[in-house]
Amino acid sequence: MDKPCILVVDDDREIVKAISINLENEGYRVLKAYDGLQALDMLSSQSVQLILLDVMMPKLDGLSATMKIRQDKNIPIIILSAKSEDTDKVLGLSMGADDYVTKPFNPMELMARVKSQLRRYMTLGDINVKGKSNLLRSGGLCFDPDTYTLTVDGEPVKLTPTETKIVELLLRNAGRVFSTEEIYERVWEGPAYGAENTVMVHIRRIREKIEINPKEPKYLKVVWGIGYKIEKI
Amino acid sequence: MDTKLKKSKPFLIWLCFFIGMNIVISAIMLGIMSLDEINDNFDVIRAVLKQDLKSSQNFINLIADRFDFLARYINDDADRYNASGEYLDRLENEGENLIYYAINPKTEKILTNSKTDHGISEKGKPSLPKGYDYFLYFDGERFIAEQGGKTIDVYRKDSGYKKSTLWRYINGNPSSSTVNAGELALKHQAGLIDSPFADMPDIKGCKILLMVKKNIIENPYAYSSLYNLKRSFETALVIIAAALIIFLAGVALLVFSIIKRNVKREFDKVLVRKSGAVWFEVKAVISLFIINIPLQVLMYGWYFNKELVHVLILICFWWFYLMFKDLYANRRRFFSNNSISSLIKFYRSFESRKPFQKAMLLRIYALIAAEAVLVILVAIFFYGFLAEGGIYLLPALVFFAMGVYLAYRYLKRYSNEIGDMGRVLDHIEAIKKGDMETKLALDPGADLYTAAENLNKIQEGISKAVEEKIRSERMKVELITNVSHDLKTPLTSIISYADLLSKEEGLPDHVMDYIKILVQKSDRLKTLIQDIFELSKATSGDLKVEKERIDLGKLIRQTLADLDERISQSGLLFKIDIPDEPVYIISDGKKLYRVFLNLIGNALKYSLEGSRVYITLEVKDGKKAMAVIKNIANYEMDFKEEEVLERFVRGDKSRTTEGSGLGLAIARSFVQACGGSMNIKVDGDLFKVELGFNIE
Repeated sequence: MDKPCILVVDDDREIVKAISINLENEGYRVLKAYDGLQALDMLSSQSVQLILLDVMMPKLDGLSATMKIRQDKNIPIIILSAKSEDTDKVLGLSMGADDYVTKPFNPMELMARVKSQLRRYMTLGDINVKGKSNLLRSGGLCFDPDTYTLTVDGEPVKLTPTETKIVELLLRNAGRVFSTEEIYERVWEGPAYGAENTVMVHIRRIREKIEINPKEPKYLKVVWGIGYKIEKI
Repeated sequence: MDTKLKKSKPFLIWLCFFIGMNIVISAIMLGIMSLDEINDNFDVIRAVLKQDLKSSQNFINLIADRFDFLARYINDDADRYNASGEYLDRLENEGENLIYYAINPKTEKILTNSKTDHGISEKGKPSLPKGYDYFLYFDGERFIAEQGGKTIDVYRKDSGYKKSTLWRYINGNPSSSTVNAGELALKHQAGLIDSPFADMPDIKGCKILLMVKKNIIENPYAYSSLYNLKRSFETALVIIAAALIIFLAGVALLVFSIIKRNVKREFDKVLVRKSGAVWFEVKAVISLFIINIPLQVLMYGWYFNKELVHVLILICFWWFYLMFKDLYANRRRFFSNNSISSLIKFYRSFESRKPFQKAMLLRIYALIAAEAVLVILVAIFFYGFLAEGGIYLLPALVFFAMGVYLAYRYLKRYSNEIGDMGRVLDHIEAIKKGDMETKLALDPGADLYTAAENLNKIQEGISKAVEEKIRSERMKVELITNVSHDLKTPLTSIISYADLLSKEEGLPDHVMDYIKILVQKSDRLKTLIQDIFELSKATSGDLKVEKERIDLGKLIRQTLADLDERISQSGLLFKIDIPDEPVYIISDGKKLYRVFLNLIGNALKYSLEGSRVYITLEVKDGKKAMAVIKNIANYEMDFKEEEVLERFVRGDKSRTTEGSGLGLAIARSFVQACGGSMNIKVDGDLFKVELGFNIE
């Protein structure tokens, strides 16, 4: 159990190989499967810590495989798909996948997502056991008001005091949309006259720090023309 | 063969009906005609059926006449009437069928064809010779008659003898007659009785005997009236039997045709179709003529010509049978198929060959002309009525009614036309609103019928074209989705392996350069594929838009904040003029973010170094929000404003190495999908994009 084992499933052997090389370079053990049934077979016989799963595959497609795996296993699943529609993403996530990466993906980004999911799966479990009740949480995002620290998938993130305040405000009210004025008034505690841009730039910086791909944020989302929010996950 | 039989079957059944009906009607008619002679006829029929010749009235009349002759000749009375011996010859002609013996004691004259007196010199009954079974005997005072050994009471009131010429002898008084002389003469003329004599001789004391043979035989030498009577009795039996058979056959045919009435009706339909084609006026006139027949018969009786009456009554029956069938089957058409409607129809077929405007004008002219003619006719006949009175009023009224009817027809048609026009207009409106389902159904006779049909065809064409278009758009989207998927899979490998290569160490520098180009180009391909996919979805109307109330000013600021880093690195000066108060519009924020991202991204890419980029938002008339992005291009914009959106498609020169060149096209289709408008203006080096949205 020293090296985490990752199962890569895709009917395109070259893609599987490329991903494997990247993963092995990162120091993971890799199992390869080329269809859904093969993947399920391997899962039953081997200990796997993460699955990278293509959607369109022969014999058993990725979404059905996800549903089958979720019946008895809690391991992280990252779906790899050429389908880039929002509806496809929502469908994949609602089936029980932890992340959704569209093809063609940036190998670096994929590695980052793999790391993040693994961290969460392996270390976050411990924190959960410790069970500090006043932690603010949204998915892999975790804010400790006592120590004033933010961790993403267990990895601490360095934030400025203003940024920390903004994150705390949004995390405490996860799911609620805050307008820039409201954020300014609550964080800077002053009238928000012409200060919108300040808030917006701050938010962009936070996003760059906590998101793997700031262009497609997972936690801190822009509600265009209205404001900002942190998703309740 | 089989079909032929099937075809002719209704006719055969109908023929059965026709013949059966004729026979039954004829029988009924004969029955009615003989009502006043019914007793006589029954007697005759009864006698004929029994073949009892000698108790029939005909026989009695014959014998009575023969008695009359004898009575006159024995008294030499015949001379008064200038009668020669011809009547005596009639007695003679019977040969051995009739034995007569007459004696006048006063003159001692004896008339006989027999050698004996058959015992009439004695008192009492005469003795019949062998082979004879009938006698009529006057013994000087009384009549005695016997037939087949049975005595006949000649004096009985209802006996046939009293009805014959014998009545005067029986009564003994010519004036106590039930029959007057005039009628007698008439009957003689009509050949009903032989005797021309109007009065009677005194036969008191004379003895007159007539005896008839049991089996009346033919007299080969002369015409025997008795034999003739016998023969006619025999044929009458045959005739009665035949009549009965014919009557029964008629009833059978009628019953058969009634049982098979469904088949019969087929032929009725053929008849009705034929008679339906005849004008109402013709039928009315013929009916008026024919209805006269029963009226005439009722008024004057049928004596003048029974056969003609018979045939006329049958014609009358069949005519009205046809008329009722016609009326029942054709209903309104029975009346509406008249000369006026035919005239109108003829006019209409003439009119239909003209163009619509001409036809409408022509109709007004035709109406005016027809009304003018009718007015003149009415005037003429009314003047005639004032001058001559009486019969001229009817045509005047008829022509007046025709004029009113014509005007009514025209007005009705005109009002229908107006209604139809309204419906056509409504239909055009409905088509405009996109209703491709409901068809315009006008009456086939309407003037606008062709127009309505053409409109329906146009509607059908549009609906087909739209359907086709939607289908082809959907196919396009499907194709692009599939193609983009098929492009993405190999691209994933390319990007992955290019990335692996770029991480490879110890490669010569020029190889590293090649790899860098591979990485760059594969990235460009990636954005290109994503943009094409998005654009094709937007232009095919497959784009899902989630509209909500958003602040356009805030959206622009958020976008700018998102691009903050790139803006500050660009060396361009951004001049932002956005009102502090919110500018609310109803739109899809995500899509609009893409729009501004593309537009500002373009400004960053193509602006002259060190120049200013102006981004303004203003509200016009409180109704429209106008966002404008202006920048100075870093190249010569030698294209027209419209072309810039299609540049990629047209393969223009100003394509760049980065991006897909689809940014503007995507922006415009997104804006349109979000309910806004996007215009591009080029003025020298000034590039200006205007976005317009309706204020909430």
